Amino acid sequence: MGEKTSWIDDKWPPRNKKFRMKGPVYERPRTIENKEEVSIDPTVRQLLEKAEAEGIETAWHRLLAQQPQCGFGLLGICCRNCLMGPCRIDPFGYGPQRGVCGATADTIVARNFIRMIAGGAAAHIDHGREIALVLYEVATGKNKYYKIADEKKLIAIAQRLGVPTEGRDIMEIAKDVAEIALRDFGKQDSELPAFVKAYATKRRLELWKKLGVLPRAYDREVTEVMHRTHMGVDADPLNILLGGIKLAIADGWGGSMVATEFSDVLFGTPKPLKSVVNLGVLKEDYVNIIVHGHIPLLSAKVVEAARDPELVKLAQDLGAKGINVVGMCCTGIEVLQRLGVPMAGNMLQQELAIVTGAVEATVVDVQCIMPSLANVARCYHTKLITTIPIAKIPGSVYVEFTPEKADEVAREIVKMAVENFPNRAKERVMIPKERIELWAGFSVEALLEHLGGTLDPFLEAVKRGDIRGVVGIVGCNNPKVKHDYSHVTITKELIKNDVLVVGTGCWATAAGKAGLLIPEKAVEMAGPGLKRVYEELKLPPVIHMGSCVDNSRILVLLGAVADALGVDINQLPVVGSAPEAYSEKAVSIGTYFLAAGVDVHLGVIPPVYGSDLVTDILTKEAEKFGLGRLIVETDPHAAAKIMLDIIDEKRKKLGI
Amino acid sequence: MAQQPALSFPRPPLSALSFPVEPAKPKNYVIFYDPNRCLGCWNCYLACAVEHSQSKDLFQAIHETPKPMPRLRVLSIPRLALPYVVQCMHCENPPCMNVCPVGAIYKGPDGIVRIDEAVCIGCKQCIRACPFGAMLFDHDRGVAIKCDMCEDRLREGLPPACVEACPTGALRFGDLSEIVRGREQEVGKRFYEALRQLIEPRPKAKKASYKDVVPAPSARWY
Repeated sequence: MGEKTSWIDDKWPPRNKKFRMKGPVYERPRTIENKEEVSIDPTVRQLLEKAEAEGIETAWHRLLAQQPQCGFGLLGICCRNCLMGPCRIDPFGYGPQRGVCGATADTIVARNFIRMIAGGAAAHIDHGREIALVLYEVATGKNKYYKIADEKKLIAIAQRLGVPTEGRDIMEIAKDVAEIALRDFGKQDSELPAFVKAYATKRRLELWKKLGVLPRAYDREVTEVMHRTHMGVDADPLNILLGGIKLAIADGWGGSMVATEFSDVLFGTPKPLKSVVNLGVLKEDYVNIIVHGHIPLLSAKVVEAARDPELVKLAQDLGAKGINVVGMCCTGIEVLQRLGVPMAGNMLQQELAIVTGAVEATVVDVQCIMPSLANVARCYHTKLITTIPIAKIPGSVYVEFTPEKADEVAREIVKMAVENFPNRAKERVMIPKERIELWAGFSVEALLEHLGGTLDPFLEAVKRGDIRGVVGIVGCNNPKVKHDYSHVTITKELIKNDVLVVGTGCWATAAGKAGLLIPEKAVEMAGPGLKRVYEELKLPPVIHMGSCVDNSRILVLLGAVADALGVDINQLPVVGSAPEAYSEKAVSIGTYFLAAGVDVHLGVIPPVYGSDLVTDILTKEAEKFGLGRLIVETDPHAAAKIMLDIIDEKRKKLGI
Repeated sequence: MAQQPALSFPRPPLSALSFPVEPAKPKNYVIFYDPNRCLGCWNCYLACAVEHSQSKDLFQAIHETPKPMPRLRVLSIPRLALPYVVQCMHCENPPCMNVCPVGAIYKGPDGIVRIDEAVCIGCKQCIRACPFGAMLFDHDRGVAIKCDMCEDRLREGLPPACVEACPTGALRFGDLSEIVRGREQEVGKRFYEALRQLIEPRPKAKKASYKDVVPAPSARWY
């Protein structure tokens, strides 16, 4: 673990040179000393300075205050699943080796790990359910605010699912498709969900059947994992982990897949388009609204409402030039890739966006919304607007959003933001200058169209060696890692070595901010092979595939490539990577890539090292089952090298 | 209001001060344990073992052989189930030092009681003598071991590992005078608070209600 990627001390316990006793209390540092080390994004440094000057704390400050983090938690050997506990295992072997119930470190680590998968998968599955319910309501005519924007995609889905399409009304097809999808969430039989059956490759399905990890219904798998990890149920670490893999499959080819596919139906399949990214997209004399969260149902409507001439007129009457909606996190990407809405930043910039002092309202739905936003917003005129009953934040304004009243609620929210404009303190506004172009919206359909309707030219380039392999980089930001640094470094290192990089989520925003999503710029940094590919196929070396549920797009692509070559996914020269992962969703995503047979690199140390057995299963043994394995490497340069080695090895085995 | 002349007192020139400047006293380092703040999380125990490992890294230390030995223990007070950390007090008149037949235990000018492992014969008299049970024994090497106050860390200007790892400030570190001053302040503050409450009892501040901000949850999420 060579290069230091963490701006805080990566030693445990930390080695804090600034140790002082202040009265009776041991004082730890409160301010970030070297702001250059926190992020490679210049906006972060500027706004951190502003935040500190104004006495506002951010995630980085709170991470500092959290030091040292619990050693047992870092190793994953603390169990809080029952009231006999909490129990912890002494990793050095002098103290207790079993919890009160008798669970060993292996059992505890495995149980904790799949509970994390359950959290992440549940988030994706709920996301998918919302979209599927709206599609059903649109199909049955109950909801007039949304429409079927992409009939071609709907028919493609129907054909995959085996729904008859010839000569039928589009609404009838939509109803059938939505019914099938909704049934998969909570059905009680032991059949394979229709979506998983339709989207997973034959070879994978056979392997999963052999391993006994075929999912039955998405909700049922979440329930089963929670049941399995209850005290006194499953104690076999391998069996527990297989349960986690079963759930991850239900997430990847189920919940996330439904979310992506139906979002495309309702809002249009993304096509390549140009937009801008980074906090410079906030405009000084406009009403700025940030849409933050994950589900496009709300954000798309807010964008629509902000274009309403009546509300724009209201904004102009109040002294603004207009209304500027910008995106944050994955809902931002959803509207970026479909509507070209500018992107303000990724997960760790959510507080900093408000610190600019130029934001009238931050509209949030679910997932990745820091509860601290209310505290930051309180220091400015900014209104934090929560909209979903399961995601309320004390100190926010709550406007309930329901798809039946989508337009009214979106208008109300935008109006609230516009009316907040006169409260802005102009002297406190500081908007960073940084803004840069990016290309987004490369869905699988768009990529195929780009390549002329067939994968052959792409496969030809792979066989020729112009494209050495493909790495999918996904996932979050984590303040433990230098913000954006690992994302960008790994990407640059890989494209230099002719590895095509596709990715989603906060990686995509990081890559965009580094200019890697401008094809001309990325090609300059790419190796000779990718340069040739760009000249011939116009395929950029770095491809933005969407938000974090859109990782299912990568699964579809992998399946299509594997089928076209007549091999299984685990033979392809493909690696997944999550260099700055933080969330439970990332754990679930990582696990479904493992289930797909893709090796996954993780740049943050997962809480599994307390058990040798679980670590061994995940990092070594999993490969023998035909699944991917986990590679933990915090140094981005070393990680890129490991990934290149894996790609070369797989190419050799494939004989290309 | 008319400006008043600044108060000034005749003061002798600095050179007239003739009393000798005392040489700086050597530090008398203390690890102070406050059971009131202790949650019993065992992080000091982990940190101690990591610090006394070869790799000094949590993720590698747990796989080392011989297993790193922590020099402190987290015990539970019988019947009360309250945590209690036992580690060397670095006594001013250490019984372990006094009973050691070969003089392997000595107290340095910095207040740290050390064991010279080359001299130790493993007779375990010190274990018997310690009134706290803080002396431990390394069976592999056959020598007594104890808290060394993380000397390597002290030399780098860092506090001992257990103190750094403590999330609640139950373990504190410093020169004896600093610790005593801290204690004085703490007790004084508590005493002052109690007095002030007696003199002018303050009404309790009204807590902000969540109901002001968030309406009642609705039945269904879309």
